[in-house]
Amino acid sequence: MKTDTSIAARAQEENWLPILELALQEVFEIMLGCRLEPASGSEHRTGGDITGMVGLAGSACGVLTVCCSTRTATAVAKHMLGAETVRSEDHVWDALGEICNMVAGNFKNKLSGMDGTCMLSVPTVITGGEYSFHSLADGGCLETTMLFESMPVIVRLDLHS
Amino acid sequence: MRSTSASLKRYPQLADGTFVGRKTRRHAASRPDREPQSGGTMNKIRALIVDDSSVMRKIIERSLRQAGLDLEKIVEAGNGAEALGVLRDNPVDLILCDINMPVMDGLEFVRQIGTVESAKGVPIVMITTEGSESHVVQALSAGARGYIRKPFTPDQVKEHVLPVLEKALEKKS
Repeated sequence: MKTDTSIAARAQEENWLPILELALQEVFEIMLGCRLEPASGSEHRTGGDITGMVGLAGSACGVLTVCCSTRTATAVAKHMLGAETVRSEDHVWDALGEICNMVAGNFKNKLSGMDGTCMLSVPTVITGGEYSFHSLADGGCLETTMLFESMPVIVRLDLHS
Repeated sequence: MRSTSASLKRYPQLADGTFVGRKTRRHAASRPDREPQSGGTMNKIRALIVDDSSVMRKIIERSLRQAGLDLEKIVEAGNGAEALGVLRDNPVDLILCDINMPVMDGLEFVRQIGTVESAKGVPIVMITTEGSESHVVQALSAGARGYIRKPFTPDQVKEHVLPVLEKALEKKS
């Protein structure tokens, strides 16, 4: 019998991590035409220097982040727009923010019972790697690292209970 | 969140306004599956793309061209309020609109579009990450004619946009 009906407990019970990974993979396949590869080992666990963030509110509260290196984010933007179109860092930030937004949206659309009850914020992008992330979410986190053209892309979902 | 050397950038307050007659942008040449298709049946379409992401606006424009539309003019806006202003000076045949945007979201924009005389009856297709059934219902109730979830393929844009546009043009003629 369920005793804990929190969203964090649900995330654990329903094993949301593969859903998060699928949401990420689909966004890269559809929007960039690229297949992500699973990362293995701890060599890819290093943080990047650019982070996209989208907040979730409603039936699931928390924050989803997509973190990678600037080199990776630039490659992502070039795949999305075409190399000749990416002329400024604005395009790179914008592209990463949109990737983050689409991963969050795709993820929540795959979860049952979230219909219209979970809202997304507009994305925020942080540049620079020398910071500590202290989420006030108390429901644990899901994190996965995948490789885009051999470069790590880290997706993390921090949930409020 | 504590930040030392990191800098925080508020995501797009993209007020780069209107761009008319932009050049065709092609996707990476290594992706022949995304080459523009020929054989479009509709000529000289004027379209408004409303999205707070300039990257997404460019991708949507490219998808429209890949759908075979002969785009005479593309105008852009970064939010609903800006879009209403753009529409007052730029009559269009088609509107593609995001939902989650700052200042005025896409649903409010759709509700208010009747205030612009020249935009009455113009078909609106929502393109958004908000893909839940309730959002679809809200958008269609507000007056949108179609709904595409992000991430999307050019084929999905074609599949959803062309019938809506054909119907609207038929009605007009």
